[in-house]
Amino acid sequence: MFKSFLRYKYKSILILISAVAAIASIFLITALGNGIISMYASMLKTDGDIIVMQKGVADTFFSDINRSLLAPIANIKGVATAQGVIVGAGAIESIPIAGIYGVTDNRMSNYHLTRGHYPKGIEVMIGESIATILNYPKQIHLMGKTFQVSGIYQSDIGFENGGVVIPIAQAQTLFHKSASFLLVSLDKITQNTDSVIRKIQHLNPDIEVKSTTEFIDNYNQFKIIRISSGVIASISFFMGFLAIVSLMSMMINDRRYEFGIKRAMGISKFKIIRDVILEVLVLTLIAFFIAYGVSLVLLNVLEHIDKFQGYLSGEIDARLFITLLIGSTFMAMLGAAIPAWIAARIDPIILINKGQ
Amino acid sequence: MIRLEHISHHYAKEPVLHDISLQIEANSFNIISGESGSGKSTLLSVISTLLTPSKGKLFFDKTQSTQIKNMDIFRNRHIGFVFQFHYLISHLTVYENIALVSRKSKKDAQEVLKKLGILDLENKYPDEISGGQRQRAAIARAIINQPKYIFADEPTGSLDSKNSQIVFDILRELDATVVVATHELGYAQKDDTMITLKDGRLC
Repeated sequence: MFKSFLRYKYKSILILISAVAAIASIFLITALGNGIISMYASMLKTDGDIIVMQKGVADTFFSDINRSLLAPIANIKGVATAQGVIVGAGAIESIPIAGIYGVTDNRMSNYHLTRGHYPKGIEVMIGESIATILNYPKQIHLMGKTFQVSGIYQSDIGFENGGVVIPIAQAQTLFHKSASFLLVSLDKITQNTDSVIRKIQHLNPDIEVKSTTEFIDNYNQFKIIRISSGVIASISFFMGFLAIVSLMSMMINDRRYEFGIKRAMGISKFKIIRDVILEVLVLTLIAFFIAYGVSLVLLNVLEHIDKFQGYLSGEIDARLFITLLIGSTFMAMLGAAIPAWIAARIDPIILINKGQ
Repeated sequence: MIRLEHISHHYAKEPVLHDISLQIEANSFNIISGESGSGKSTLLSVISTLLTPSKGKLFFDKTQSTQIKNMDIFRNRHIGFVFQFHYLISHLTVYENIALVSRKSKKDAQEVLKKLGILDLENKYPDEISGGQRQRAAIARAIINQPKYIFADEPTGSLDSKNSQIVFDILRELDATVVVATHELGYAQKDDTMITLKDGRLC
């Protein structure tokens, strides 16, 4: 059944490469969109069951909250830790923009140090990506101020690995706020997050308290990213699937002559269509898994290109994998089955004469 | 027996066959002749069910072609077709081309290939053998299921005289109703039934 692929190796390889390119482009575009959301969500979820922000400010970058709330929050029953974070961005040496994270001392240990020690005073620790780009500097200029580099940390989250972490008091002098948000983690025995949220809310009417999961689901920035990445992914899906449909249609139309001969010899139209669909299914599955592998490799390469500071981190989750697997095989089979079905309804001699 | 009643056919708006009625007897050898463009190939395609005529009826024995429940099975069991340019499937070997349509065993297929003198070519691809050998392979494919009807459209059109004679000799030896469309009347014999066309009409 698959001898036609083997006999026309050059043509088959070209079709396979085109299908791989179409599927891989869908994987990459969607994965990179997902990755941005996933990275930021992972940052918030680290030691954060609950997030406390300034009331009425939807964006963590613009939120300003007094970190003096940390002590009363930490005293609430069921709370394990309460940490303060300032999120900002600025120029670091030759790098035009990078993430700057001001964190309280009790959050420092979330960063895995690979050398040196956690920063104190006017020290900073820098992510591996930044350290590599700046050739492991001893000091850095951050938004016009000089800091000693106390250590280097490694993080699986690209935004963190390509950023710097400073004590929150120093971040306050740079960004002129006490904290962007507070992250509260609960102890293992506390099951009722809502009760803790209510208690935190009682502390100050000017704050907004949400579970991190709820916040991530409703975060405006994520919505914007999700919508834009959804639109881009949809266009990419459409273009990719259109390419797959066109490729398979072309491949089948090229074989109308062969179908004509087969029908003239009495091979049933259903067997012809079935064989075609099986051939295309196998070809598409091979292309899909190659595209998946290629995408993983490319995403890994993109993540480790110094220029991108690790900010380009793609994520292929099970949902994307399955959607793309079903979508690409369905579209490929549709692309093959329609011309095959049309061909099967035409008189054999016309197929042979026109297909020559 | 094959019977045609008032068969007409046109491609787009161009008429090719005009009101043709004729009867082809069982186990007879029939030659459709006529000048180029007279409608020989179209008539052969209609008789062999490869082309649905614009008008008219086609009967195999007493059954009208439109009443045949499964035309694919009918073609596979009862009809063998030999084309001018062999039309073997190029990515299949000689044997695989035959096996594709065969309802017989491999041994039977090899027997047919042996009879046609091309058994040693069974594993060759069509582009690895000569034109005469390809045509014999095409004949092997057409006769493997021992069909009642064999149709051949200019089967010697791309062959030299020696191979043409071989092809005609093979077709004449078949125990079937044979209909050949050809402009080469040199291979016709006295007992053959001649169907002559001129401008799509029977002469």
